[in-house]
Amino acid sequence: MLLWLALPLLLGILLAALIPRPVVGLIYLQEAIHAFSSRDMIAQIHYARDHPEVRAVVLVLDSPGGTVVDTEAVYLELAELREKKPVVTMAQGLAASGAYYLSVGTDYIFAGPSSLVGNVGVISQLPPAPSVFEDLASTGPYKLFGSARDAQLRRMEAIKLAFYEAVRLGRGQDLQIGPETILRGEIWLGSEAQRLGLADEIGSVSGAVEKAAELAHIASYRVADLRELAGLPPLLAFPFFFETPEGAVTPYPRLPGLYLLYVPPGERSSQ
Amino acid sequence: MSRNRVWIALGLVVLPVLARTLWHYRGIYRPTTPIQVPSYSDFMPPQPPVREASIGLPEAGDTDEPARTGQQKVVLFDQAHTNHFEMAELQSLTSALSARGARIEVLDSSFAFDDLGLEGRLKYASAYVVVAPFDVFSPTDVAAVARFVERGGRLLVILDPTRTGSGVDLFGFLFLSPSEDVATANQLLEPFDLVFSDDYLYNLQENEGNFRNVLVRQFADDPLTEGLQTITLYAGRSVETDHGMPLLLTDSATFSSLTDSGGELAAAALGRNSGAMALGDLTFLTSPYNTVADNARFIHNLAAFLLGGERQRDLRNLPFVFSGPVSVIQSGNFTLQAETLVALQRMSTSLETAGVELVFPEEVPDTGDLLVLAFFEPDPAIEDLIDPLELVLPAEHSDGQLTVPGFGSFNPAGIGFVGLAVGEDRTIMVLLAEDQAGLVSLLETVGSGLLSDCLLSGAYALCQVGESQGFASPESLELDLGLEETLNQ
Repeated sequence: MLLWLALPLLLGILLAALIPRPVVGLIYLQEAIHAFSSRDMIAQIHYARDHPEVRAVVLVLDSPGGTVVDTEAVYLELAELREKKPVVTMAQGLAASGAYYLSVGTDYIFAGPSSLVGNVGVISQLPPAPSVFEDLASTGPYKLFGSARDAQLRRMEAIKLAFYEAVRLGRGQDLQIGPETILRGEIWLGSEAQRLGLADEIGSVSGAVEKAAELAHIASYRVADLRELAGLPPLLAFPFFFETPEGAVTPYPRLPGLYLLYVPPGERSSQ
Repeated sequence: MSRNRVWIALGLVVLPVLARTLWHYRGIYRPTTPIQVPSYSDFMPPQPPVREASIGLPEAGDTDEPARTGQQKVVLFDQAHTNHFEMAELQSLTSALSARGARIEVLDSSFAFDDLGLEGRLKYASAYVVVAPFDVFSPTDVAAVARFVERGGRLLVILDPTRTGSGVDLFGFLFLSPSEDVATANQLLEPFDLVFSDDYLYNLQENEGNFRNVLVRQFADDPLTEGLQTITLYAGRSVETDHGMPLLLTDSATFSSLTDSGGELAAAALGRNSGAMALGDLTFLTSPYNTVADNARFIHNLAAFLLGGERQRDLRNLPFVFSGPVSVIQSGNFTLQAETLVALQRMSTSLETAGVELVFPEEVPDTGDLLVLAFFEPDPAIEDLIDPLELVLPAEHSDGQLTVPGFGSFNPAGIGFVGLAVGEDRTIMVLLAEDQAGLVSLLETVGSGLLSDCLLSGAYALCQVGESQGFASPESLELDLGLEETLNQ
């Protein structure tokens, strides 16, 4: 008698079960931004973009930044993702330089009260003066070194201005300070960063997840590590920083290049 | 009836789907603001400003400075105080100096071990340039430099915050050493009311390719800034002065790293007597930065400043008071004896240090420098040579006293007189004493090069040449000028 009622309902329940529970995906960045970590992040961003159940992404940052090219690559991927899904940043420990670059490319920034945020700017080891070698031939004065020292310095300036533009576009009207302050390259506490408009709110990963869900208009969601969802293997240790012959890791990059990187002052040795 | 059942069945199928959908999905995400990224192609590396005006540099030999043999101006560059620079880096400045006929001399660390020392070299130098010194100057040398500037010499002290001993070691570590150059330079500049700050200047709003490369467009009205519209400094220290003249003034957006505040900071300044200059940047002198904006013009103005001093040549400059061969003229009563020859040999050796030689003409030459050896007695043959000294000889005094300008009148017994008359064309040094023995003794004293045992006052010196009550003590002299001042010199 009630079969005609039970069967459609059962069918409806089965169909409803096919509707995925929404996911807030977490992308962790807990090291410098380099070729491997950025490739890893981009793979997670692509997974989030291509999987409809992932409705929002939270970027959990604890990074001093990294190379310019890898930072910009992730930043641009985040911008594409944001066209479809909200992305929220949690500056957990350190969101400095390149890591802050990534955060301004998201919809909302949380910071811990004493997280370190900012350090807008570029660093680079300048190339040596052009020279020629008897046993190492090249076809141009800058073939071996890429550019003159002065040209490298000016290139840094162009990258810095683009960085500032990213901050300006990302933070918009919330920004309480101008380029004369931001471009000093200072690093601020999370609480200061919020007051200056460099971050939106003091909070935690949970708060960031809730905010992401709110922006995505989802409820009863689950939180998942996108690395696991994407089936990525554990990130292998990459020798980004210079190591002394004694094995001590320095805060300086191993290879010369252009970096959006925070170098903690306490790590400098004095002679 | 059956149609209703169909609708109900459909509803029952849709209901769980709808419920689950609404349970999880409460809306559709739309970016609240347009997603914008920087237009990267708009951010091009800034280019350096081009030189804004032709500077008309002087050619070699095209000089407005004295070029007479022996009067070539000497600019002394200090490399004796662990200076963090290479002479090659100053090529633009040394070329500008050479183009004006100057001779460049480098004072290396061996100066401490020779007889001349810094003070000796400053006797003939027109200018002294000290760049990034990391070893302290001795109090004696500081005093010598102060005297050098007081008497018309020019002092240029250049620091550069990139030359502070910071760098990257073999393992890639940054290391920083204390800014000893600032303390050292300030010690040297203290007499001139010039103080370097232990900072660097920066401008985040408008700069020359980097925040530490500062554009300077405000200049004091001074020959050093003539023809300048814009110069660029590549990491410069600021300079403070209370009574001197700030020369290069930065704009309000240029800050000192020490305070992160700004407002007309000086990157260079003249000291209170305009003979000493403190300049906070070295890099702008080096290639290729020396050609940016009006930097080349400023470098040539610097060269003109260094050679523009009017050195007072007096007895303190001995033996560097002559500019060519020195003819020895003797009074008729003076005879050459063995001890006289020894004293003259000493004098000759002393003058060789200054690159001049003693000659013994038969007659008084019309041109060239002279060394006159005579007694206090009037001698018509040399009267014209002594007249410029404005002495009143004992024979012209009723009480037999000698009157020397600046020293007054006194009994000349046991006293030797040294006078220097610097003219346009020739320099005459006159040595007078009471007798032959006194004159020989005086010649030996002067030949030693240092009149430290004599009373000096500008172009005149009084030296003890024998045991006599006439020169028992300085206090016994009746001086027109303050003796204390004379002694302090």
